[in-house]
This record gives sequence, C-alpha cells and structure tokens, in this order.
Amino acid sequence: MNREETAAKIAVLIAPFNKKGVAITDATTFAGDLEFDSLTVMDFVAEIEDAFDIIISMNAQAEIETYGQLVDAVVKMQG
Amino acid sequence: MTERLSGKRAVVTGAAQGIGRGIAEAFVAEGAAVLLVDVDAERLAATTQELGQQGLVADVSRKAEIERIFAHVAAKWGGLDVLVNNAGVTHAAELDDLAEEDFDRVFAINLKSALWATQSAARLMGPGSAIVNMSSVNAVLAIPNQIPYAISKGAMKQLTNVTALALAPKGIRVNAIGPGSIMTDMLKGIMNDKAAEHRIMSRTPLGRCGEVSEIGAVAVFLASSESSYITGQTIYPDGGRLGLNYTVPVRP
Repeated sequence: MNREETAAKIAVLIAPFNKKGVAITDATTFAGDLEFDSLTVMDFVAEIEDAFDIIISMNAQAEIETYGQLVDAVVKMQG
Repeated sequence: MTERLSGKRAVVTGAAQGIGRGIAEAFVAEGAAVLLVDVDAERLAATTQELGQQGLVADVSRKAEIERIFAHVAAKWGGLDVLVNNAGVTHAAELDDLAEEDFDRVFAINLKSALWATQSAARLMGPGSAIVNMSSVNAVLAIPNQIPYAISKGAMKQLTNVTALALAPKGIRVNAIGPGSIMTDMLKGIMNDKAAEHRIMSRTPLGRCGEVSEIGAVAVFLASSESSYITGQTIYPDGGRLGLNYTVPVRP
C-alpha cells in the first residue's frame, strides 16, 4: 500500500477519535491538537495495528508525535 | 540486600509490555520465578527471552483460558505464591457512541479475568500468598470518553476488597495498585508535546510522571511479607493527583 492509500485508510480510522473535528494535516499532533490522552492513544494504536496487521512497538510509538509521522511509520512497517 | 521474593512462584498477566512487564522485571530482580501471561504471542516471546522466564499465551477474557493457565501452573509448580492481575485494555468512546460489545470486551479483560484468576489461583495458594490487582486513579477519577475503563477500575477496587475478605481465612492477602500517569514508552510520545505535558503536570503535584519501576516497587512490597498486615487496600502511586483539587503551577 503506498503512502496515499495508507493515509486514506488511516483517515477513516482516526475519524471516530477526532471528536472536535480538527482539520488534520501531516503536522497535526496527537497529544496537542487532537488532545489524545494516553488511554486514547492505546485505543487508536490498537485500531491501526488491527487494520494493517502490524505491531507498532512502544518504542516506535514514543517517536510518533504527528499524523504525518504515523502515516510514514505505517507505510514503512508494511514493508 | 536479601531478595524479598526469593523462592516465590508468581503469575503476571498482561506481562509482555508496559507496567505488567515492569512488575515481572521487579519480581525477577527480587528472586521470584515468574510465569508471564499475555495474549500477544510475539511480544511475549521477546519479553520472556529478555527476562529469562517462561511465558504462556492466553486470552484472559475467557474463563476456560484462565483455567488452562492455572492447570499449567499446578502441573509446573504444584502451587502458587503470587498472582498479579494486570491485563487491561481501554476503549475510547463518547457515551452516545458506546456499544455493548465494547463494554463487554473491556469488562471481560479488565474485571472478570481478575475475579476468575483469583478464584483459580487461590485454590493453589497457601497462607502468606498474595494477590495484586491493577486498578488506576481512574477508579475514583474519570475521563469522560473512557466509560467502560473507568467503571471497570472502580469495580476493581471492590473486587479487591471483597476477595480480600473472602480469602482472609486462608491467610491470602489481596491488594491493588492504582497508578497515575506512568512514563511508559507510550506516554513518552505524549510528553514530547509541550501542551500535553503541561496539562498532565498541572494535575501532578510531585511535578513528574511516575516510572514503571515505581509501580514494580509497590507490587514487590504488596507481594512480599513486608506488607503482611495489609489486605483489601488500593494504593495509589499517583504523584499526589488524587488529593488535588484544581491544578498546581507547572515547574519549568
């Protein structure tokens, strides 16, 4: 799956978590802009892992702050 | 220093990562033999290898799976000294969007698993044994979109109390740990964000997040004979959050 297709799939998955309807760009931060707390991050990561059949290690999660970084990481993990 | 869990046989659920892994590490450092249980086979294999302990892949949301875990323990050790009911999940949903199957799933993993594991484990335990449940500051505080999680953790407080009473005649103690914001790798991602860090720290009087090792230390205390007169309690390593009304100034 290329970056565009991956981004489209993630956009669908993130919608239920984007309660305030924030306009999401690659620079959008999960904690700051989307106000994800640690529990919401857990839920969202689980959704991504299930949808793409990948495992995002907690070390990798610690590096991901923005939406763009998440898309890049998922593209890379799909190999 | 003498190892405080020397010769003890312990089961830790949800032990492949996060706080469960931290507790397993702390137990091993104190001389315990630990059986790590997790539903995630891949991560469990890596963690058991790193800790030099055995693992068992099981889904604790199903009672039959829990019975399988303790049949394995009975065959392997012939008894048990410590159980840590740590496995837990969250589910973010607004009240209006919450679905029954999601509520049931969170309850099966967070709460029912602890009850049935306690029942099975206690049959293998003798006097001086201990059970440690993972609660959360969300047992008494709450986040509005974490409904089943908060209810399950509140219920864990009473599960701890009632099973402590039920097992007191057998000399088995049951206590719980209710962590605040703990610096797992997951939280590190959030704390890289200054605005989010400020939100969390304004509700944390000690001015920092807790470390996984600081939960492990409480678990060791509650599992060991050092806490021999404590049962039915939930201890909150939360940096002072529960006692705080409003917010505190955030240190630069």
